[in-house]
Amino acid sequence: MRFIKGFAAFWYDFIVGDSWELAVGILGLLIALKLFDSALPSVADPTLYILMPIAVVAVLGVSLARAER
Amino acid sequence: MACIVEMVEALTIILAVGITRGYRSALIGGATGAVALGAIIVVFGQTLTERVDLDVLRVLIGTLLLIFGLQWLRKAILRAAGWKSLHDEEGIYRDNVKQLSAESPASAGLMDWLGFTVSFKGVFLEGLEVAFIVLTFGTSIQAVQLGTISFTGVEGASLAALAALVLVAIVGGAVHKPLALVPENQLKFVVGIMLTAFGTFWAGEGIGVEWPGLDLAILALLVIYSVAAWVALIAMKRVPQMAVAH
Repeated sequence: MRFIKGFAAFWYDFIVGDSWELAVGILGLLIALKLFDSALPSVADPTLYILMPIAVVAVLGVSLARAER
Repeated sequence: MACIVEMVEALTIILAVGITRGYRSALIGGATGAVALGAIIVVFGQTLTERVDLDVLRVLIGTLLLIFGLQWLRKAILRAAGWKSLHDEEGIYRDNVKQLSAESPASAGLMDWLGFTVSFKGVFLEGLEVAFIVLTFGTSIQAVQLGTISFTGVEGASLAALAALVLVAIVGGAVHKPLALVPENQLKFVVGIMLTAFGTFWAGEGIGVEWPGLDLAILALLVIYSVAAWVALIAMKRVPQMAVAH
């Protein structure tokens, strides 16, 4: 039981850490980009490689802005 | 060349984790990843490409690395900007040292699971990509002639991968000491950027992003995230200065 609790705590700390908005933001952006790619492949294919790093930077920015407050 | 690129990526992660979390866990994690990969290759052999969905693995490992890299980068920016006090960390460090001192001698050599996990995943995914490259190239070539010795396609590709492994291991052994001289928070800053870049690349490949220049796109991602982190750091440093000015 102690091992399971420790294992779960490790993964929670690994994924969520002290900034839950990073984990939620990254999962959200990946799902959104995948849906965009599935719905509009002709538009998504040439733009995804630009959109993805911009979205990652935006998620980091939101997390830093929340830390400022 | 393709194998060298993949192995350099795995080596970069091991070096980054080794410097920041300790080489013991990083090397054990990397070795365990290699053994797990070897077992999978032995069990599945040439049907590997049919049984393992590399895209699913890329999304899974890429997402974890991306989140983990961003967490480190965020902490490093907050510390460098003076928003996160280093005193708390020092307090935690003192508590940990006290706790470890109270433990039995065997506990002092406890595994750092964080370092182990990141190294394991890096080596496992990159190694899997090397296996895919060897099998794909190997099965597409009839035979390889090396001097007077003739090899099958898979044997030739395996030998090339082995030569790449030896070369990358030698380079890794040579550069790990100079890297250890860099201050800790600056190192975490750089490692955070690196893990974020690798995570973005892998997760992106998994969801269908077509990176221009293939693996070279990682270098572009490193530049983009370095600039973004630098801008964020400058912006955050200005806020307390303005508060003091008013």
